[in-house]
Amino acid sequence: MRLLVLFGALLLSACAAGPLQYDELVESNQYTTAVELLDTPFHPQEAYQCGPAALATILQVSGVDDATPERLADQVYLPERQGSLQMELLGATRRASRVPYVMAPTLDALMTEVYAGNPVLVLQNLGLPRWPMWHYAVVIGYDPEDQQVVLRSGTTEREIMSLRRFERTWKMADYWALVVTEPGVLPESAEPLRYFEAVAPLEQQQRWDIAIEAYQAAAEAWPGEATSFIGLGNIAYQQQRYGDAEFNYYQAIEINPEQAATYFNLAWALVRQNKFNAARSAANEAAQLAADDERMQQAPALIEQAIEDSQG
Amino acid sequence: MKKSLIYGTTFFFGSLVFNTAFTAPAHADIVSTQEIVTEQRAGINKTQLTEQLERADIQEQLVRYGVDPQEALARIDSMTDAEIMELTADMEELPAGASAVTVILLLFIIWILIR
Repeated sequence: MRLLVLFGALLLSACAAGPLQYDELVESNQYTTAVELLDTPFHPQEAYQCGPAALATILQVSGVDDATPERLADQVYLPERQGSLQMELLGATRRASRVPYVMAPTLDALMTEVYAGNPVLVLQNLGLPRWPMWHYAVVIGYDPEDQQVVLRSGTTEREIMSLRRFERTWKMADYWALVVTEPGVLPESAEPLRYFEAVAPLEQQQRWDIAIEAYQAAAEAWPGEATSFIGLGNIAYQQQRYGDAEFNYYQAIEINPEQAATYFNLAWALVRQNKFNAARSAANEAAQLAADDERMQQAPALIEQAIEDSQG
Repeated sequence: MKKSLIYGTTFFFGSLVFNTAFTAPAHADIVSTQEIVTEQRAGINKTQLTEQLERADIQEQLVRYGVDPQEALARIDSMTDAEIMELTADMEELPAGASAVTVILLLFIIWILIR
């Protein structure tokens, strides 16, 4: 019985910490019709394997047909922990050539995605803060009238959970949620910096095609963001398409003429095309724009050295 | 667990031999998009680089947690430096999504207790 009292105390502290968002969502009356993404596949999980099952569900919706829970288990399951870690889900998404977009931690963003037709993979803590039971599920619907969320969860094809209880379990997992869309399509709730954070690792891992499509989609959606063009330029540079790189860096400079790194990279793209004078002035520009950045300060000297090397 | 620890450590030293499997940046001369985005998020002019040793270290950990060595390499290569650092920090404490079955079990235990 003492044990039970302890449970009660823990439960209470979980409820007390921080305000929940569901009240606001309900009162906003933003969503009046119910939605349920019926086409979302269902993979009843094997023991402890909710990670592979949930990931397979959203990857298949994004067009990765061969993403089965069995295949994904090899990529994301940790036998000794009997579970899957968040970063492994992100990594497996990249291996499937998709952008793993970690959504803004709000119910509003979640609903935005579901109402746009994108099922959302969420991490939940179905236990207590100090005795966590981590679980991955996929949110596929919401009924504003009954204030209920519909999930593909574990071995349940249609798990119905009250919005309040759902938010509490999700909140205990820091509102962590993953959205995966088809190549070249932005998540409905996508925010520029968040999105670039999701795309840049794909570029780093030389998964060029998916990264190019993602940056192009971003350039179209956010014409005021220079980072899309820097990304496209950097890919072009690494693929040794120096003319394309130069073009994209100029696009980025037009949007944001204050960013030293763009001039720095432009200088390199120009050197590679033997446009030495233009390269020198781009390097000088980089140094002038970032007086306190050591690497940018070295730009003129680095470029001079590169010019010498290429003439040597 | 102890057995797999020994195996993991053995593999760790073995992995030093074929370290080339770790991806290296193709062109170190330009500023990578990853660095630019990281700076924008942090508002600082510092770039964090993971030592190769840390990657080998995390591979060892993954193997210890029952992942096939080759698969461990592929997993590491699909993660960012920041994710790898997070993973290295504490694999035991990180949320590992598992199962809803245990919850039912817990409720059952509570039910027994209050009955």
